Amino acid sequence: MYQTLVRASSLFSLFILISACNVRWVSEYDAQIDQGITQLHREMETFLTALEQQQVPECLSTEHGLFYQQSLVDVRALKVRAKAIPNNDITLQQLNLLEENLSLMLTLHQTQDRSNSCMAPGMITFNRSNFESIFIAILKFELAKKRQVK
Amino acid sequence: MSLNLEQLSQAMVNAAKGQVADKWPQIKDYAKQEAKKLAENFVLIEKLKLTQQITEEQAVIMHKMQNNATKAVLLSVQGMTTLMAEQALNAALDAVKETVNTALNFTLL
Repeated sequence: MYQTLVRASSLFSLFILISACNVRWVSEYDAQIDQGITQLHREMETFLTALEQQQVPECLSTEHGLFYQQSLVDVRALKVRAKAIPNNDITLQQLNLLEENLSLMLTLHQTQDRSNSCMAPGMITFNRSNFESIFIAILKFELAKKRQVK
Repeated sequence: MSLNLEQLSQAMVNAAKGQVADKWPQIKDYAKQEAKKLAENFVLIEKLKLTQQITEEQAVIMHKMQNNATKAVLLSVQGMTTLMAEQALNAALDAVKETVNTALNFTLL
């Protein structure tokens, strides 16, 4: 009797397990995250290209308050969206890192203001490469979620 | 119709292998390329510091930023690997779906 019960419950568990397929460990592709990140990348590139050409006082952080404010608002809006999607923890963590780096770049920019000088070209190169890595990382993963099976 | 364990498992392994063979090289190339870029940026911070183009405080901030970028890249690799495993499993299940359903005479998979 006991053995029959064990067998029946094992069979039932196996049935439930197999029936649950296809498995989904990662969220679906979200076009808004894709577009939002692409837009942020474009804005960052515009900002850094402008910084390369500017002199004091145009290059100071105080002159670019709107860019920092708008970028942070955009990332936070994407975070809210990402949070609402199930199995989206990785993208959410990446957006947290992007948000933190935007705040750190503002701090970096403010420290440069103290010497009343523009960021050195090497610092701009660093920021460009740094943010590019994050944007590509988020986009790569988001596009992979399209699950194109060959 | 009876199910052939050998044939079923071989079909599942082949389907899963197909997914891994297709996706793993792409993930590996991306990780390699990004690792090089991230390493170059760590070197750049040191160079800027040594040439006194940045202060100690700025170097610390830039290190934090670079650590975060590294984490974002690793998260992407982790996510894509999870996706690859998910697709390999689904491909394996799909490969035997029809055989199993026909043998059982109802839609299990």
